[in-house]
Amino acid sequence: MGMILRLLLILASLSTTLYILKRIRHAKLQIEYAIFWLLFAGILLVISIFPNLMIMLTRAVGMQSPINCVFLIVIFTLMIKLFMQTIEHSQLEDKLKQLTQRLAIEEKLRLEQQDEMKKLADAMKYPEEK
Amino acid sequence: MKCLVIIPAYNEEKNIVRVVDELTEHYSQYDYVIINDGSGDDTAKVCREHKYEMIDLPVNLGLAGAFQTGLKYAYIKKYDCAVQFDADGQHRPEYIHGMMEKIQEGYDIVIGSRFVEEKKPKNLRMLGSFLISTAMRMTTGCKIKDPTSGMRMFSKKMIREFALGLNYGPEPDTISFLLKQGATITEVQANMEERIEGESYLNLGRSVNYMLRMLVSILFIQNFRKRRGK
Repeated sequence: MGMILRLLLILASLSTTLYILKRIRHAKLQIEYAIFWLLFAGILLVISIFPNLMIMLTRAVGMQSPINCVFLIVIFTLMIKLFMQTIEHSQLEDKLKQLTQRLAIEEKLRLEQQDEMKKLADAMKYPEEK
Repeated sequence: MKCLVIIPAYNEEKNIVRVVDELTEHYSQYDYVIINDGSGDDTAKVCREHKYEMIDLPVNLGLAGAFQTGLKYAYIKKYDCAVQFDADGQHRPEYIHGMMEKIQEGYDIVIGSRFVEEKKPKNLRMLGSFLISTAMRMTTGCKIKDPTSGMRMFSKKMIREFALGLNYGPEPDTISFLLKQGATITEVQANMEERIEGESYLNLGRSVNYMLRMLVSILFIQNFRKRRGK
């Protein structure tokens, strides 16, 4: 791996970490969601500081150049993350739908109940009051 | 001093009656509220039939979201303290009194701890507890013997902070953060029962995930957080 690429990776992982921590500091991000990015940035950092680790892994799996191995790992990790997020997204949308429906239906039921009470009160009045 | 017992319940139709009946029969001095966390079973129906105090969440929020609902309720109703209480019968109500005394002494958070007077057993299940304890001691300098105990009592000040804040889940990492911020936290011996009905939520995958989250959070993330309203 070339020096420039390594510096780029170091810069990218450090700025990711900084940004994520800033979001948490200002209570704009839940910790559960930060863990993945911090670990991801941490691993990138280790890879770029100790490229020998990557070179060993590349030899072990029989690939040509370490940088391809880095790309492959990054692409795989991000694809899995994207897949999980699609599932979470879908669940979230379903929850939001259920919530909205329940709120709206409950409001309708409350109004119906109010109407019925009014009718009942009217029916119980004496004729001359009507 | 008014205390609210918050009972988050997710699929606890088999346990909830036993737990709540004991509270209402022998400990009627405490108010309680069940937070039904969108259970798929008949937890909500059972609660309605018995006319229990219940907040019925229409969707599942998870423990942190459910418990925060209870704290929001406690905040609105101006309770002096609130205690997290399991719906599966693990926690014993006789320890609530001792915990309240500590709140009255001025502590912010009181943990119902299994290991104040008794030694922590050295087995795989306690390995997680040991690691979290160590991580907390490294970052805060304070020794919490039972950080994963789910029985925690919060003072009025804490109720407000937990009810309104983000990243205030009822977990050891929040405790660690507050310790570092100067909150006072103590432990009271509270023995716990084994669960009688139903399955534990934790399996191996979830435990490893939980441990990873807690350790990264306690050792790293919590150092950079800013306290709410400060």
